[in-house]
Amino acid sequence: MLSCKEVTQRAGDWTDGTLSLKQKLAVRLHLLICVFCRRFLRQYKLAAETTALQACQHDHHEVEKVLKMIDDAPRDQHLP
Amino acid sequence: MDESKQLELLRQQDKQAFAALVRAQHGKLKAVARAMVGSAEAEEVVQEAWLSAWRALPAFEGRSSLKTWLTRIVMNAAHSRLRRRDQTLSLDQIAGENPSFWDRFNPDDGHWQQMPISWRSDRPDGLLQQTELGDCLQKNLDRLPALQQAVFTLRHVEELELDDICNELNVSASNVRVLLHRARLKLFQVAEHYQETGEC
Ligand SMILES: [Zn+2]
Repeated sequence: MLSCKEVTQRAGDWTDGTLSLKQKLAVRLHLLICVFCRRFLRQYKLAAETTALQACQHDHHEVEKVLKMIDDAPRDQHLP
Repeated sequence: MDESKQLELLRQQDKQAFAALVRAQHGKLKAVARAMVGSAEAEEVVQEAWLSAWRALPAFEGRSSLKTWLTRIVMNAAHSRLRRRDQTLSLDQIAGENPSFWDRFNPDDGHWQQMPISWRSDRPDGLLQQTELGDCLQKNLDRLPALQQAVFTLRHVEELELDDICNELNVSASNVRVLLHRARLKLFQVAEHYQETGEC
């Protein structure tokens, strides 16, 4: 049986689906009986997703600036 | 609008279609640029990239998805910015193991002795209702070693496959996995600390 520490060490590969079948079963078996590791793995992924969502936040003025810049850019001359 | 119709309009440099593309992708691309060159220059890098994309669109052949193609343009713009600064994202920045985290386990049997606490929401948008948490996570992401930041962002913001991240950053598969795990573990600790104390 894996220890909790061993489960958390495999958290990355568990999340990315890169564990071997044997390792995957070992983690799954541990999760059946351990509420803390279940919670950890859920929140480990959640922290990453929350950071990613936050990192995409931007000011809509930035988008307007890009569009203005494109508006001023010449069109490709070869197009009809 | 279906994808091929949108692509056709983009190839013809249709400004409305391009505006829709910018609105949809700017945030993600900015995050990639930020991870690579830092927040001060990220906006400029993405602007450059949009301009290159606009010019190159008539010749876009669609061999990769539009999203992958745009990511590559941003990465190229970021890499040339780093070269001008005479910097590269290199593995000597691989430092940053989270030693205090492993103290949470009993050294004898490896069981939790300081258990993870339950968070206020199990959804990202729910957690970001706590407004300072978002800033706190962003601040800590910015502080990660550059390569950890880049790997994390390509995985979670751009949702690239691990193999593609290896190719884009020229890092081995095992190093990508180590870097990604360290970044996520750090962000987990930051989020948990915030849930516990309300402080960054
Ligand atoms: Zn456990």
